Amino acid sequence: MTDLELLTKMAEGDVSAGRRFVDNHQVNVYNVCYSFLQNEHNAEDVAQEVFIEAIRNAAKFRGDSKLSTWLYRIAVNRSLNFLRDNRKRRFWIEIDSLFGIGGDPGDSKDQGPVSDDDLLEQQEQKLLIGKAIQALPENQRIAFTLNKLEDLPYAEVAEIMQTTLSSVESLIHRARVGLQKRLKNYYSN
Amino acid sequence: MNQLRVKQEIKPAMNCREAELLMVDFIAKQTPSDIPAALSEHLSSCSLCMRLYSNCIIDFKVLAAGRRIAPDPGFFDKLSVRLQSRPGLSIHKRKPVRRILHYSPVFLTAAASVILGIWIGSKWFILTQAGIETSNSLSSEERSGMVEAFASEMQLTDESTLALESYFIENENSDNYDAQ
Ligand SMILES: [Zn+2]
Repeated sequence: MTDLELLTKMAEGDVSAGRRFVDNHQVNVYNVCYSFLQNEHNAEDVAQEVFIEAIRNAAKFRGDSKLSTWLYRIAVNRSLNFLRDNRKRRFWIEIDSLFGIGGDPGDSKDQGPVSDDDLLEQQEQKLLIGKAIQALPENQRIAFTLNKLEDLPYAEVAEIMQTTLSSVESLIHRARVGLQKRLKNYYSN
Repeated sequence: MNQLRVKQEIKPAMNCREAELLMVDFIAKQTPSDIPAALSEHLSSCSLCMRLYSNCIIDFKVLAAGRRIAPDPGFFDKLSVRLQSRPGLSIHKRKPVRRILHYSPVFLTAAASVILGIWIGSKWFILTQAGIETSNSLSSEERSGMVEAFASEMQLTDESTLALESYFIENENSDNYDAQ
């Protein structure tokens, strides 16, 4: 049974087809999400949303690209949206703190225990390599992540990003130069 | 041929910038055999690049620890639970549209009400457009004619026709009451 048949059956309520489809793709989907989010809990959460979106839009999949390419595209978009929402949330928390609505931001001891996820996130934030990748402009980050971290060929990256091959080459070149400068700067200080 | 050989021999070794760019390319490669020979050579002779490379590799290993190499056996079950909390998206409880249409009496009743409303509205509109200015209420003959016509269109039984007729009368009276 093809991936498309499995997805269609899953959307119709076939549990065993659903399990096979999800197991075929969950590692790749999760890893793409993790590369962008750099947090296991968030990557798991977003990866699940990727499959929900795939089920919801199963009928819309036209089959003019590989199903895995389509899933990767959903994973990238969902991950970037998650990061944007997170940034917005943090911005408003800071604004609230500034005006004393949410308490003093330095008063973290009074804001309840820090969860394992928070600790993990703080720990991951300290990794300079992760910071350097996240500091890249969005399109460069997408192209670099998919090609260098997920090992996808330029042609597939172009298809996921819905752009040309030459554009992907240019994005990856700029990402490499940007990262080289950042890493040198971060690690030599 | 001789010229070529000479050129290869005098080719300068990789400089630090080139080495740094290659490090970026191979950041995700965890085994030394994946690294190009030219980079290994540079690293063995340049302590600055070696330090940068070691830091990058150590950090990347920590970062990559959260990646998966095999499917999580609980992933699908967690997804199923999440799907069940989304209306209309549960893997286990979804019914094809045809089945919903076939079995749901609530759906059928609602659909019949809508069709009845549209049908009455259209008939009423035709009558008023034709200049029939008798009154807002229909005569009993017109009323029973309308009900019979509707019943035959909807293929209803006599019992249903009677029920519909009484429904019409009640509604008509309340409409007249509102108009006063
Ligand atoms: Zn060097």
